[in-house]
Amino acid sequence: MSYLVAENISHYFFQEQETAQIIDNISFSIHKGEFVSLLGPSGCGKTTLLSIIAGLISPTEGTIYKDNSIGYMLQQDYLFPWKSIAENCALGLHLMKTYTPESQAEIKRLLTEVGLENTENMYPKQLSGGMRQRVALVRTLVTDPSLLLLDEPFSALDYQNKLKLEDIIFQLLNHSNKTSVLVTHDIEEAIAMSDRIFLLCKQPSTIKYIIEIPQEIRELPPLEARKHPKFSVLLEAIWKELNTDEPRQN
Amino acid sequence: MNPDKIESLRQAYLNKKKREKRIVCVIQVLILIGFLGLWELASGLLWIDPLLFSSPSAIGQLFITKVMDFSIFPHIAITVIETFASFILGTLLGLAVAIILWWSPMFAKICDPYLVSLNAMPKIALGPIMIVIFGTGMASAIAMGIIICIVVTIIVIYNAFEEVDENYLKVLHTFHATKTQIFKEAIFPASLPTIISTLKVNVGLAWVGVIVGEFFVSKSGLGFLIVYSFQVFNFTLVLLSVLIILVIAALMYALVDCLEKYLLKKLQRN
Repeated sequence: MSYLVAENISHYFFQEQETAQIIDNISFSIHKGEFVSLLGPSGCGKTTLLSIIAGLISPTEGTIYKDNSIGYMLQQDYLFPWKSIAENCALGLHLMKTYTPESQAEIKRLLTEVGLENTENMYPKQLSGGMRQRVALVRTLVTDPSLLLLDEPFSALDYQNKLKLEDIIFQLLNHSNKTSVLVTHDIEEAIAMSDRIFLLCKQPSTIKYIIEIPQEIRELPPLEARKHPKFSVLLEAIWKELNTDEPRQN
Repeated sequence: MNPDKIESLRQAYLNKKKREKRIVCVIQVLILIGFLGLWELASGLLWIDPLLFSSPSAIGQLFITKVMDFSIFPHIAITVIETFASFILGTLLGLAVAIILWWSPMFAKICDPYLVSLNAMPKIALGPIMIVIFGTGMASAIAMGIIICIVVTIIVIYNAFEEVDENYLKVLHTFHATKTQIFKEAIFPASLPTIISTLKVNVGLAWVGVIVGEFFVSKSGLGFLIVYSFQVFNFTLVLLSVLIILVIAALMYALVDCLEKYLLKKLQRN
């Protein structure tokens, strides 16, 4: 069953001097509960594609079919410094007017689950970068989105915090039947987290390859997946693919 | 290093700070006394014309007389009320206009050249127009103060609104926030430190506006007193008025400075 469908998406940026085509006729469909990564070099229009999926930008051409309940995570936490951790987490609920008396308990439960118990009354600057990004995850998940859009949420973190957050997201999503799209330029991360990888090439962006991750790696948590023998084979294959980006002329 | 030595070094550091502070304070007082003394002396020995430049003792005597017969207080009260009114109204109206400009980028683009020209223009030149519109009472002086504050306030606060990190807005957009919610949740709280700091600038500007406004036409107020006593050639009263303005303006500035520090501290605790 397809859950998220993109049909012939093209996007242009118009400027006074020039018109730049960012995305060239991308179509795909993602199943319910699937985890898909959009993998490509920096500046290939991945984030633009994700913003289009989220409905933040309307594409110049094409249509997205999806459920309206999305959760979006940015590269950095962007927690509001003047709000407490609990208030930051409740932001989405308040904006969408779905805050109920039970929400507070749910926020507490999610914070505990990401390893941040008893931080509700603290303020963002009292937490480290890794902790803040986990709060941002709670802020996203507490609205119970059916589609989770992750815009390089690990890229600003150090390696240790990155693995930790990957693991938390993996565990939280594992039994939730949520559909996720991750934008990344990190090949390892894409293999370790995803069911499928859409390999994007440079601007204008198109899907060059779709890579199915073998079942054995999918089932493993991100850290374990990295140790699997098939992991390095996949890594090398994708790395080569990304490096032969320009089509050969002869 | 042993703790005793660290402690004694710390004491030495604190003592040095304290001594420095004391020296600065003593010199500041000496300058004041020296200035007043020299003034008194110069006036007494007729190095300067006492009729034009008066003397500290004459000003002091006049001050006591004016306090005893209460005739100075209405002037002080009126000027202070006018200044507060134009300071508060100028800030609030400026904030309101900045919100409208943020709300409608199209309107902001249309207003841009007018704002830039109004900002560049010496607002005092509008004095006669103010009198025509607002008459010769307090309203004119207040309007003068508002005009001087408001343009800078609009520009500074609007720029602060525009400089709020777009990613905060993106977070709000992903939760389908309305424009009102975006203003309430991100734009306003993020700009609050800038808004608070405009208060301090506006106090000074409001004084300029009000005193100039009183110069033009008023029948009371410290600005009026300066012009009036100038016309009747009472320079002791001119200088007394100037000194009173100096003291009250400094007090008001210190008050707003305290308010700003308090508010910023409260914000930062969060």
